[in-house]
Amino acid sequence: MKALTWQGINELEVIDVPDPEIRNDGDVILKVRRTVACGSDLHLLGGYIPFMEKGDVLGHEFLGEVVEAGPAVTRHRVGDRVAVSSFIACGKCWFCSQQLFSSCDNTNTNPAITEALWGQAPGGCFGYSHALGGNAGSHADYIRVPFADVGAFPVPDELTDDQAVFVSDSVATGWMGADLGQVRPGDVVAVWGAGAVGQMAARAAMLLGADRVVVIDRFDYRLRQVEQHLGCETLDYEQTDIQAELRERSGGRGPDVCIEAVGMEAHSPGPQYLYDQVKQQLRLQTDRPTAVRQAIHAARKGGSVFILGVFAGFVDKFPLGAVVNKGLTVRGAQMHGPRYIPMLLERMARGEIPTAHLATHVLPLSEGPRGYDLFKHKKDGCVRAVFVPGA
Amino acid sequence: MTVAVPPDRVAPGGALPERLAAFGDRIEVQVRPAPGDRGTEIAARLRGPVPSGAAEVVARASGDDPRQELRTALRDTRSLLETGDVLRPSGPPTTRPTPTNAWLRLLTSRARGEGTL
Ligand SMILES: NC(=O)c1ccc[n+]([C@@H]2O[C@H](COP(=O)([O-])OP(=O)(O)OC[C@H]3O[C@@H](n4cnc5c(N)ncnc54)[C@H](O)[C@@H]3O)[C@@H](O)[C@H]2O)c1
Ligand SMILES: [Zn+2]
Ligand SMILES: [Zn+2]
Repeated sequence: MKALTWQGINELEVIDVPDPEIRNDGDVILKVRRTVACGSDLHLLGGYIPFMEKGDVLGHEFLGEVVEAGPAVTRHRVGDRVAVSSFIACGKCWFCSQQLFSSCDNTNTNPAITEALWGQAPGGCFGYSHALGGNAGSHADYIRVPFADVGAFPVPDELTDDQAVFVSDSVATGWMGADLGQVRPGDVVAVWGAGAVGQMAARAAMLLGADRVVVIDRFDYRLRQVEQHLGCETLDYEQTDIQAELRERSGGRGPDVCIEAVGMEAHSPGPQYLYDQVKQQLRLQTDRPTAVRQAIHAARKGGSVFILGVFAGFVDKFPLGAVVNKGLTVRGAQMHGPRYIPMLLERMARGEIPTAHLATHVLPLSEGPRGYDLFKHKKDGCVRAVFVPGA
Repeated sequence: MTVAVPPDRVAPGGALPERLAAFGDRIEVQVRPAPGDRGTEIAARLRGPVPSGAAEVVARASGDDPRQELRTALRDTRSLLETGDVLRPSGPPTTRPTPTNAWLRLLTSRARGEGTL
């Protein structure tokens, strides 16, 4: 089959690879109908997560049709259209029982790497390096989905493929940020990053009753999407003093909840960006935490900061003083897909969570490398590049 | 290691789970209830001497360190008790060995036997 593979830093290629096989009784094989370039892939592409091999298949936000099911699968049948959680969960361990699905104990087949890095291993993820199990990703004609009864969900007929596919990662991730960031009715919420993840976090905050939601980015076309499709307020951090403006919009208190949806390649205006980039290049820090710093600085006393952006290692100039002296709650997580996906599919089918506008570029999988170029460099109004295998 | 099933399912009538029982007297195992309804704590230790110093480096790199065998057995035991299965990596592989990925392949080939478990 054809697959979009990692060939080296900033090098992608569509090549022929063997078709995936059922390996465990709970597996299904999907014929992929839609598969999306996510901001997380950029960290792999840029070499910031070094556990990649030439030939690894990328992709973890996807939707497809079941073409084969293992003998232990009870919830899916051949022909079903399903969306799949990007993190893989067993559904049975203690972490899964607490709905911390991305912390699953039984789905990362290479646990030692992340145990050495972080003390404990998170669960496995599709197409996300050998540190998270080395599972072949979804940028291919077919994909194997382990524990399919736990992580795959039937898609309501009301939703098109291009709408529903985002539930697999960005919608569920954004919702988690607002939910676990504890957005309450009446809150002022600020979201850093107007990519699909930040947009979906902002929409979730509105649905959870926030009074004001402000999304921060520098790309005008993304901020316009936020205003038009989500009905939230926006701020361009290159045009305004974010800290002053956020105080202005929260009666001087600072936002109750700050959600960071930028990640370890954050950009910042001014000399600090150079400092962070040099340190990252020299491997003195692995990640650039610009937006996290801003979020912690902006948050109201006793407020909460939720980090959705992916970080891999260590950061510099972490404002610990603000965390302690303002009494903040700082939390982060990889997405706990099965906790939210069924509820989100219902909401999406009712029209509560618009996603169609995110699919700015729908391309055949053969044009994957071009799709990533558009997405990475934010060209041509790209928010998400969606690939159609076999097209 | 903690397993999210009650002690009577981990060691019914005192019989250890198969993958651990296979070690015979080579290991010493303690099974006790975990606090707060978290299931069962299993602690296993090798009885005999284990490679140390230079021998340890060689044993771990070649995959012959008995601690790797024990960690793998513990991970398998947990997964079998909780899910009834042990997840296998996806396949067939889409990558090939190259000089630049040799270090990573070595790491992943030992990744269930190493770690902090
Ligand atoms: N936690 C999870 O499970 C999970 C899931 C999916 C994605 N992610 C992560 O979420 C992050 C965002 O993903 P995405 O797909 O939306 O990416 P994206 O690249 O489409 O969007 C990131 C946005 O952040 C903006 N940005 C950069 N620096 C900024 C700054 N200092 N302040 C404000 N905005 C800034 C960029 O302009 C861009 O619009 C990534 O780090 C990704 O890895 C996490
Ligand atoms: Zn993602
Ligand atoms: Zn689990």
